[in-house]
Amino acid sequence: MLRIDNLSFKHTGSASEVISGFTFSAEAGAITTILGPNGSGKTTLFRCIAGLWKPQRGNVSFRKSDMTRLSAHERARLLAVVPQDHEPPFPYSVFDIVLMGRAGHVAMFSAPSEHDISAAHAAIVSVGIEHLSERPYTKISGGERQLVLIARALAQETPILILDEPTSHLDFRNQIIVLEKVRSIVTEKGLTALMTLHDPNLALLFSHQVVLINEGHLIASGKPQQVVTAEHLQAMYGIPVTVVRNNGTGFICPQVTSTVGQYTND
Amino acid sequence: MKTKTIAGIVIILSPLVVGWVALFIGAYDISPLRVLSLLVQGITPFIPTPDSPEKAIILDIRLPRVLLAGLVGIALSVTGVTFQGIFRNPLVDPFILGISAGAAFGCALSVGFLPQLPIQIMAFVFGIAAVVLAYSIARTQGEISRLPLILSGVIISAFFTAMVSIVKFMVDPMKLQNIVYWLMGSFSLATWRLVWIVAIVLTISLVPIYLMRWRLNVISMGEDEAKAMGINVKRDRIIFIGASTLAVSIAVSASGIIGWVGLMVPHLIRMIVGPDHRRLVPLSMAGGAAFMIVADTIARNLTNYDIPVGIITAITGAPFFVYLMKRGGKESWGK
Repeated sequence: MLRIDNLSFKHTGSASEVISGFTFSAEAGAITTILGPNGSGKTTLFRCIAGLWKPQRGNVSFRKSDMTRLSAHERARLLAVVPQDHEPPFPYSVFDIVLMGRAGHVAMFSAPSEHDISAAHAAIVSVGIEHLSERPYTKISGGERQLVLIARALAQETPILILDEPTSHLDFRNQIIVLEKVRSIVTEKGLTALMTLHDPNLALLFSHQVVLINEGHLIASGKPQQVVTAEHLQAMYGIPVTVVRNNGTGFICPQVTSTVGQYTND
Repeated sequence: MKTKTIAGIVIILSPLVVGWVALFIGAYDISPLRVLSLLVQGITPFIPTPDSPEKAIILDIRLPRVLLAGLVGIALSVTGVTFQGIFRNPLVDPFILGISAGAAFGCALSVGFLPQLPIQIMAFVFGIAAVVLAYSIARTQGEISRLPLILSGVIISAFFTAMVSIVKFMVDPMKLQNIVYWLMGSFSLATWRLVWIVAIVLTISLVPIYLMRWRLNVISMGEDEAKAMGINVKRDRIIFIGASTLAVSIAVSASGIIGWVGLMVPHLIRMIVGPDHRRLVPLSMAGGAAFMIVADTIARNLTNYDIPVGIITAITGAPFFVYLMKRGGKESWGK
């Protein structure tokens, strides 16, 4: 169990805290989604948990041991980060990119071993992108790149996986493909997964637990259907929404003053 | 995959072939086979051989010069690859942190005011001083980021370039000529002693770069990502920059400032075998050595004068980059 306890962070020289007093926990074999508007502190929370920023108060612990004091090398064996899609400066092959995930297992003055290479292969197979293995990473689609980054995180062989808005640059189809893949891998391997998302509907569809964040504070956490409610979303985003039920699942619909459909239907 | 392997083998063997060719080309005609037999005699010192002008020309004049050119080519290409990796930019060269301007100032100072010291010592000292300065200017609150480091390199370069101008302005014309000639970059002063010094310092600096070369792949993905994958980016960057600075300083102090090699060679090798640093680092070493030996052989034989090799590399470098741009920059920059 990944436990976030009273986590608070402020930038050096700044008086106010970006996030304050965050407490929640994420279970193994489940996806915990952090949902919140732009500027809510979502990214700060993410970076503190990933160990990229050091929180001033509180801590992050996994199986009851403190993670905030670990070195980069030690942390990389516990926690893997899937960053947002980006372009590297050099056209590495997909395999080379996935192999980089082994950095936490490779000693300073050596190159990846046969074992590292087979771990990278296994990660590529488990995400189902064998056909891309020799292609340049810069020449594949955004959705494929996101899958490559997930494979790289899996190659790290860590019990915790954290994903930073894995769907932000993807089209409708790829959003679903990537998140389905993440969910099946997480449940199958029993990983503790934490991700940030922008879309409340995707959060409803793909998470086991949702944590709502607004203005640096935790609003609510729990089962998606109980937490992602019209009331909470209206308070967080400041726009009116309604919840529509379909096959027992709730869907969030924003209430728009006048829809385009009203004009073009006739 | 297979063509890459063949290309790799050709590149690895290229310095030996061009080195041999460079030895028999020159003002004094010596046959290729005679060169080989003299070389064999040279490395088996127990077989006494009669002294001849040919032996002296090959073993005492051309061989140290070819070796020095090869070593400097290795130094400039590998540091080019290293800096391009850690600064995540294929257009960065080994002089990015102001090392060439610092070394130029050291040289000018030495020629102008400390004639009793060899130029190399002051060039070496100030080359390193420039990088240390650039590094400490870029350091704010214990953090060093990429962009401030490049900017402070620009500042330090500008500063030392101005200092060189002051010295040039103050010294007498005879000394001015020496400074200008040295800054153009040349291997005409090659001696066995210099070859040994450069070889030893270069070996010390290249061992960590060679062993840690795979980490350049990871570091080139960006600081946060590399950190999340378990790399101590700060520590690794200091090692890479420190080792590279040592290599460039010794190269610059031995032969002056030879531009474009650290840009061209890594580019060419990357186009042939791809960006993986496990291959790129060793192949850039071989390619850099071969390139520099060829450039120096041209410099030495193109005219009746011994043209500074820095001019040859600049003349080839400019059209090479124009060609790259026209050919579709996006491909070759990797974007």
